[in-house]
Amino acid sequence: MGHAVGIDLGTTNTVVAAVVDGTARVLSDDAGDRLIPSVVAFPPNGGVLVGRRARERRRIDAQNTIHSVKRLIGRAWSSEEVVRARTYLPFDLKEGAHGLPLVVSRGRTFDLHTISAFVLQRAKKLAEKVLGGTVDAAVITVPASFNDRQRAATKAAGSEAGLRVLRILNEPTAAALAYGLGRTSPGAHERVAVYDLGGGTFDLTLLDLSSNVFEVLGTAGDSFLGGDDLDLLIVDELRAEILKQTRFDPRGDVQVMERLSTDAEQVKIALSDREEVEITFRDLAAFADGHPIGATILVRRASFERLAAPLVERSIEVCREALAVAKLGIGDFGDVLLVGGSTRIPLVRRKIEQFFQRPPRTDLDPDEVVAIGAAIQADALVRHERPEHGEPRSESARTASGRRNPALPSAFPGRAQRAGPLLVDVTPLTLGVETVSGFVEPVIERNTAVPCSQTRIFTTAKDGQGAITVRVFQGEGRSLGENVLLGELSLDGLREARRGEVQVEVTFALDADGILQVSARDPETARAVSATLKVGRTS
Amino acid sequence: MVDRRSSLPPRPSQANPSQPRPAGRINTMPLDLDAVDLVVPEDHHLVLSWAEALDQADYLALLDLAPPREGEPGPNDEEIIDAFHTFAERFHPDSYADAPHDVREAALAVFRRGAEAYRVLRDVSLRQRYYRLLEAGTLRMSPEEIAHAEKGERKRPDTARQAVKTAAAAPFAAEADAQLAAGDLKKARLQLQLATMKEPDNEDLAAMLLDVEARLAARS
Ligand SMILES: Nc1ncnc2c1ncn2[C@@H]1O[C@H](COP(=O)(O)OP(=O)(O)OP(=O)(O)O)[C@@H](O)[C@H]1O
Ligand SMILES: [Mg+2]
Repeated sequence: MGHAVGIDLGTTNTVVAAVVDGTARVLSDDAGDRLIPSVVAFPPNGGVLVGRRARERRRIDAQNTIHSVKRLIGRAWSSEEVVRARTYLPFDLKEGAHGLPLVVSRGRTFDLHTISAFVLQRAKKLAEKVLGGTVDAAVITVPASFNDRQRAATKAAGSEAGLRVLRILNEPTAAALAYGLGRTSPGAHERVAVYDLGGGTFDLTLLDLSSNVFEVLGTAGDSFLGGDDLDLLIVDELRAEILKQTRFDPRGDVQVMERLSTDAEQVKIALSDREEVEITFRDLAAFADGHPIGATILVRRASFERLAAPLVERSIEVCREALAVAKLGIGDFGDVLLVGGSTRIPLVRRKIEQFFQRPPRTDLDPDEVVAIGAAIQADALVRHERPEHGEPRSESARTASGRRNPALPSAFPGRAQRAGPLLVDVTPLTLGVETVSGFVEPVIERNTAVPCSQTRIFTTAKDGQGAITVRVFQGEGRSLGENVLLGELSLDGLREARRGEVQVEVTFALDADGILQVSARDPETARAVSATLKVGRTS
Repeated sequence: MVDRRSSLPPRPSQANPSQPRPAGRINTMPLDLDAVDLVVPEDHHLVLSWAEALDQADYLALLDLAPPREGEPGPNDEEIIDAFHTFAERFHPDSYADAPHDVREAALAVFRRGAEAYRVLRDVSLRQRYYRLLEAGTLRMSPEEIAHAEKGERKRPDTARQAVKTAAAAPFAAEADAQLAAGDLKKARLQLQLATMKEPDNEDLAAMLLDVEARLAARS
């Protein structure tokens, strides 16, 4: 049997880790790099480049250098996010089957999960080299706020990369696992908040850690808030300044805009350590007389902070919401953990400290902690697949309830003995169906522990209605606009009767990956249909 | 083609829609004697028995908590969290990855019910409501009730009059209610449309209007 690894498949960077000789560590390549840029390039000669060498091509061949697909994966072509991304991503996208976006490069098209699969394959190869054996299974992490479709697409990417996906794990939960392992004493509970601001997404997750079980209490996020958005703000500044200095408008040139965007990221990162950064652009283009166009621009931290403040404030809003939903106050928490490269920004740290009224923990490496947690979970999961490695359960316990109710067994099974704590995560978003009045009726509430399932009964709306369609939505709020359509499922062959007389049972089952299975059943005929859903229009 | 309006609001009176699970069988245990540790089969057997008895188990029994009694408030928040953690250690499907299929499915069924139990018990107001159900002999809270607890403050008003917020819309709302009571959907629709013009952002009014339109469509 091959090795199992943990992979943090990030918007900008991917990190792979494994448990080796009982300790989890991040694996680095020959050059000592731990971060694999989540970039895939298709050079003119027909090959595929992944990682650092692909990223280099952003500056020279932007149209065929694919990055930030995590912001789009599992989203519909018509979604707001894809529409927005098309305005600033330099490569081409087009609509494919099931209303899903495809990447277009050099006349070929790729599913988004295929692009992610290239990155995962790279991580797999790196791990195989370091570990010296095949790697065939992985825990892959996703932002806690990912919906069912995004999780399913990520899982598909894993399979396409030749990996058995042991679990789709939430990034903040992985971070908490890396942080909390071995810290908690028996019987004690510790509550932590994980503030995760990476390249593309923001989440706040609240956890209760005890020595044996790490339980997610609640999570809230904004899957379109991250370092990329801060880069765009700087790009705008640089562009305006170049226009002012040279009367050249970079907006007309995709390649120049992409250069500005990679430079903007460097400026932003530098501003985390310095008060101001000067940047010089040469050869942006040429004047009519052939003279090269260039500019030198000074960016100050203070002006960056003015630009960034509204975005950072949005993340604090999400924190407020997460606490409210979990019915908890800031006083209920111990440590605040930071995850994601963007938490290195001094403004972000100040705002967190202000909101939580305590300094966040800065001793964990925000780049590594997610992959480490994923590796620990991968190790724990494969252990349980191999009974010879698992440890026996504790003895079964007699129950008080069994004595109260003779219909119940008189004992519980023993508790599993495990290497690490058991993770109990929740679903981040409410799942529901559209009702006749055009609203979303919740079936499984957000922050419900997974795996879980729920069955609700719906009735026909019309006399003689022979079929029903279940349209499945995910999101908060009751109006359709506040929710994402996950897909739909139809059940026909219903008995013809007056409206309201025919009932259909609709069951939602969420697995531990947060992936949804929907089934509809006609209790009169026992006919049933069941599906994992496809995004977008169905014909 | 299927009418996308066809999924209707659930009937509020539905109590426990799930079917009893088919019982697992102990005799499907692996016969590879080397792999069988003597402790394991007993645990597996217990998992199967709990899955079989699931519809006789109330939430407290499942989480091994004592019910509230005269003068005693029942378990507190901490006790409920601890109980759920212990429950998870006993039944979480991750711990049964090496078990036979039927045992894994049984653990999954029990865990799902425990997740539901925890969902209800960890919420103070749902917990109190559940205790009342339990006294009346109902072991499981309906999914409608659980789902609406969170959104309880946004529960739909019963009448248009309750839904409107402005004096300008109130007369139309009152008339709409009267027409609805009289069963004249067309007139009610007109009044609701007028009320909606006064309060275009009122979700509850919009819902009522849609509902009336759907009922009209269903008639024709
Ligand atoms: N010192 C720094 N100061 C400011 N921003 C930084 C710094 N270091 C990294 N970043 C930013 O952090 C982001 C990358 O963080 P990280 O690698 O955690 O994200 P990711 O895992 O790829 O994304 P996500 O988790 O959102 O999918 C980039 O936007 C990068 O510019
Ligand atoms: Mg990340």
